[in-house]
Amino acid sequence: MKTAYCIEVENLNFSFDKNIVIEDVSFHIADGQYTGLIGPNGGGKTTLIRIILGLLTPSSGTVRLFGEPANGFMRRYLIGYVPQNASQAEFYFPATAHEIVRSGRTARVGLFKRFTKADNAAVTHAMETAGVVNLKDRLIGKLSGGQRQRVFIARALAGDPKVLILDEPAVGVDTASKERFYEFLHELNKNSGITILFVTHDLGVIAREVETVLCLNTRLLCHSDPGVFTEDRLIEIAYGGKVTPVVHGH
Amino acid sequence: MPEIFQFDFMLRAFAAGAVLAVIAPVIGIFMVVRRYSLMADTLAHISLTGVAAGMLTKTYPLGGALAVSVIAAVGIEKLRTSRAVFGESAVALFFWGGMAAAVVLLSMAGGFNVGLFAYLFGSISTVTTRDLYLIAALGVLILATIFLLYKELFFVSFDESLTRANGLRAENYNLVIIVLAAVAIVLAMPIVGALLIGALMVVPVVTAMQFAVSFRQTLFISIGISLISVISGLVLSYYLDIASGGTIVITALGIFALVWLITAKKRS
Repeated sequence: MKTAYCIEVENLNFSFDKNIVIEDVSFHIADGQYTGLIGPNGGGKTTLIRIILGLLTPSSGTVRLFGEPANGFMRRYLIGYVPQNASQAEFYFPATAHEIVRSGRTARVGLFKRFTKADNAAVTHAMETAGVVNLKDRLIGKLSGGQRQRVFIARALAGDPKVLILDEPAVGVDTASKERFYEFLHELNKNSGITILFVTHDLGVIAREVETVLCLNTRLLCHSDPGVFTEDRLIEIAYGGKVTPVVHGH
Repeated sequence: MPEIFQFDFMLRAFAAGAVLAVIAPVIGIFMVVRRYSLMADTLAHISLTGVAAGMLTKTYPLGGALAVSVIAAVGIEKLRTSRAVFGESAVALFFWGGMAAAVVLLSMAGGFNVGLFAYLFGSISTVTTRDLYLIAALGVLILATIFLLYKELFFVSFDESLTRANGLRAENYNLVIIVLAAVAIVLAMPIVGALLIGALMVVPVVTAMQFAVSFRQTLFISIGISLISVISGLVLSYYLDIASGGTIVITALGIFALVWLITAKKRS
């Protein structure tokens, strides 16, 4: 059977003010795959994700989503996204966790249409999956970093995505919650068959959890099964030498 | 029947005031959460150019205000998103441009007069039947737009980046918010006046936010506060023979102070 790819990136280049941020990057992510994206700060990880999401236009090269050109791809709600620093979101915004999660279904519902019973059921299901049903009436600004993180994951799930992209999802989350969080992603991938692509600096989790690792430092330095590397070797490839991984605790 | 309801001009003021009281916070809540609180003031000042043009040409000042306000709203948004200048500078350029044009036009029209003061500070006795029809039509337009686009406007207000990532045209929704604000300003001008319009869009919303409830509840509470402010402000204005705009805004600020004190315990 032919492998179906949800994300195909070919010869991608991105420059900003003559600085090359991404150079000749190509890779495919198959349906249901669990992929980790690593690399040094400034190595282009967030830029790559923003290009896939359609928030940035590449200088050259192509991105295909579910076999269609990303440019003009209409079903973007199929890609759920949990942004960087989601745990430090707006403190004063007057909205409950439920309202925030439900907003994640906006694009799927469609213009001029109201949320139906089925939509509300999907929202509730997303909140159950992310374990935030008990927070539904709490204001987003009153939640802890970890709770907010899960609310944003529920928001991403509320649109019934086929792919979930997370940009440094465990930043600002304590170690115990981090472990539970990775376990949660693992189950989501295995049980719901959702394709996961996440950016991380946590090489331990890369070595342990993901099926495929992408190391990006302007160019794609590796694209393989993490099992073939030791953690030290990964650091060497992605960060150019045996350095202590950067800890993002701020 | 109390004396206050025996005058046609007061009935028109109450009718226009009620529409305004509902509309101002409905669009104001999106301005507040998007940190556009002072945008309303800018648009109000710019719309004075339209008022001045209307006076100069002896046409309809409120119609002129509507045209100028909407054009300026689109212009500010285009300049802001072009990233040629800071967003704040884009607003400031239009603010000064609008005021300068208004002053020039007014001097051509023979200087400042009583008619202008009504547009600056609001005056319950100046709401004409034609104003009332315009206010009602614009009110329905704003409410219908917000009702139809509520989920998109909420989404773009909370997370513009994700709205784009989901394939929605965030820039269009931003434009809708600012154009509706421009329309609401014209609607509010005869009652509260150009100088205090921003307050009616912002103060009831900020007050409702002190209760720390959902977005939807914040919206309904702010409409309630706005209605109380406008109606009691108009009544006080009538009996004490004082300016309606100022009375309404002072009432709204008084409610804010009260709510802030009551909810202080909850916050700490």
